[in-house]
Amino acid sequence: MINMRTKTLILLSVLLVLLLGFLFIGISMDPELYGSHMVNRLKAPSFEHFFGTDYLGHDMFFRTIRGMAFSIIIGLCACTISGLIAIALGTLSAVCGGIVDRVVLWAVDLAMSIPHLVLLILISFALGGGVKGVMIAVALTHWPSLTRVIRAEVLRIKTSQFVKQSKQFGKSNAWIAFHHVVPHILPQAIVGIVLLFPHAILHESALTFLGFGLPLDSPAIGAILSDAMKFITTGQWWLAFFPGLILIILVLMLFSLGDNIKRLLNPQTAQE
Amino acid sequence: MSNIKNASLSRRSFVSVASAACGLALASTVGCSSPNNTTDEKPKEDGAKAAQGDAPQTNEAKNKDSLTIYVGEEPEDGFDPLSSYWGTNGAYALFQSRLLAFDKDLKIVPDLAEKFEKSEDGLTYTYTLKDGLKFSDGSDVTADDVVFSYLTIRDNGAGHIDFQLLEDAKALDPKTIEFKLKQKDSSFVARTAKLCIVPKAGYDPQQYRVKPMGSGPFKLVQYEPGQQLIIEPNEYYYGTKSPFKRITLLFINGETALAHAQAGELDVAMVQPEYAKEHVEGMKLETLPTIDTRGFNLPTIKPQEIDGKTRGNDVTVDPAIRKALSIGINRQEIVDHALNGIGTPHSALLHSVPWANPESEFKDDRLDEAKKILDDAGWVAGSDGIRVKDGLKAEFTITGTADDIQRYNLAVALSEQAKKLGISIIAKSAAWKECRGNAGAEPTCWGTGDYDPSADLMGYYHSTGAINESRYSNPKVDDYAKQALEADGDEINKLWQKMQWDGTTGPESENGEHPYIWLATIDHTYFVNENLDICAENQPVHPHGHGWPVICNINEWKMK
Repeated sequence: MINMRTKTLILLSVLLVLLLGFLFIGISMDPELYGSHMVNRLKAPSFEHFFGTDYLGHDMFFRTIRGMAFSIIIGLCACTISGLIAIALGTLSAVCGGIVDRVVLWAVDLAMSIPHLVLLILISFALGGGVKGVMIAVALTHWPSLTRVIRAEVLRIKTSQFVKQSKQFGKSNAWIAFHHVVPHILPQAIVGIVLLFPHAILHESALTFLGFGLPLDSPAIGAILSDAMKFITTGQWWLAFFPGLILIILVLMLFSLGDNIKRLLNPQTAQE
Repeated sequence: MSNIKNASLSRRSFVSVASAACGLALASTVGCSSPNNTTDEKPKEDGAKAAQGDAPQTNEAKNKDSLTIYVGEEPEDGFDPLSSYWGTNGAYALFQSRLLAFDKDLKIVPDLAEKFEKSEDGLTYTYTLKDGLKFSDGSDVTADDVVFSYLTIRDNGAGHIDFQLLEDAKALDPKTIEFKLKQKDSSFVARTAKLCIVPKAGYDPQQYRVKPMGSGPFKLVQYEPGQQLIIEPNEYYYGTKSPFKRITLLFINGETALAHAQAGELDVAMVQPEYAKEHVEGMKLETLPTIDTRGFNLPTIKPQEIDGKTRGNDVTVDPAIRKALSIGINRQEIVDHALNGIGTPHSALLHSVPWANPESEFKDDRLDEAKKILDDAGWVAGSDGIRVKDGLKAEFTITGTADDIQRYNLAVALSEQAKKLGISIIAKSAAWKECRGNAGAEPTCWGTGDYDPSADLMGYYHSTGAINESRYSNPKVDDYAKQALEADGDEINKLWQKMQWDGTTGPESENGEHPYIWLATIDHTYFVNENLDICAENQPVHPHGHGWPVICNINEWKMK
């Protein structure tokens, strides 16, 4: 009987292999492989081209891997930056309280009151699109909910009995922060960051799909999907199907990994 | 599009949408034995549905009194010929008409004006209007309206036809207009066959662009930006009146248009080359020739700062590179690959017009000769197969606008062809504004084809040309242009031809200077209701116009 720990471990290792595989193969790939070879236009999937080819003769298999590598890089950057912002703001807000707390909460409310996709488009467009625009837009828009979670967590710990005790024993604020607060919020932060990752990947694709992200000629999943839309009416199903499927599988795996970690870290469900 | 939008909102909705999408995609793969069958099967179903009675077919066809068509994207700036591109190519206008017009052989014929006279010195033109002309609101078309239109486009700075050489326009009487030019301009008459006349009374550019009204074959019923334009025949029109009571022009995108056509909901559907090989039940494909040529500029100067922008290109400045590219590539392959075979390879800017020099065309796909030219010029192949000369790699970037996807496809096809020569061309897509702005340094794909010889020739080849992003400059060519503008009669076209290639120098022909690499002329393709006659044989060769020129004779369309 496989318990959740083992399941999570297996999931984690499969994901790591996939992510690193996509990343390294995608980055080190010879551009010729995903470049255009117009003689092989609109070929259905075969052993020669696993995912078929598109109108310009791009091999969709290699293009998908390259696109996923792109997405993963952007996802990693975005969730690291967002995670750091969230931890910093959340802790600051809980520890300082008063006006700082109000300003942070106000910023969170402000960011959350604008529909996420609209905010993404706004930032990416203002920065002129491209890799830079997408990266910054995705990185800057994923912190608010995590900030709230971390702030609540820090507040809970701050008022807990053992922290008060430490204070009475004369421990400094920094000592308390490192020995009591950080170990307690770390699990929450890790879950939050892992759950941010698939979100970031999806948003990168969505931005590019809508034409506000990476340029059309780049092998990004969003660009591949938006190009594929044109050929759905004419029966070239493989253009959207395989890249979309890979994206969905990866994102679902990341989500379930996040869920599993969350349950394992929660004392109430850890032993299920 | 909405799938992805929803997907990004929440995880739960994403999962449900995604699984639905997977299911759909799976169903479509299971549903047909081989992918090629999908397209063949779908229309049949739609045809069957139509036969059951929700779309008018066969019996009702003859009595059909309305049309729904898609001929191209919505004109961004509205329908004002004085401040936007609308109607300025001389082919179509719907609401307005012109002093003169082009017939199907591109000869200039009377339209609003019954005749015109040119003075001895060539500086004064006198046009006389026909009798009883009326705008679609019933008011008279007078010489005042003509004068107003010409002076407005000259002065408003927003017009797409150049009338800077017009000194003055005066109404001598309600039917006679006198134009005075600053200097001789043999293209003036062609321009009067391009500019539409708008009524002077109550003209307000902001209002007029969405509420156009004029003396053309149609009048506006309703315009819903982003959705549709509904028109009906103008009862006061002096020419052929349309037998249809109402025509709806939809503003959708190409994919949607094809889907609508397959569902039997469109009478005319403009399709991009990608879709031209599809089959649509109840419709036939009309492929109409154009003079809409595609090509890239190849800057002829070294990189330098001009007007605050870097222009010029280190690689294309070498004539050997330009010539090798021009004669070495295979244009037929480019057409087959990038345009799905819907187009004609052309190595010259102009053809099918009297001012095109037939000697400009040359044979391409001469790989060995092209390689020799590069060898002789000192470009030797490097370790990666790309040629190098004095440490400079034969590599440059070109752009194709993402708004007109064939241009990007052409860029990719050209880059593939250049690889054979050891020249590395990096094809990028960008918005037109960006492509146009950087064209001086990074060649971009141009689309062109005008009924006025001076527009293309002066624009691309004159040293002061407005679109001469190659910075091509040849005093002899400039001189031919000057002579052509001052010439009379048959001389004019001969001089325009010499401007392209005079036997010893010029921008075109095999031995010319190749400031541009012209690739192909696209064809316009439309799916047309089998029972509808669009009188394609009466249409002049289409100018540049993104699919719209097919409506140049829309008032003559009829059911068979």
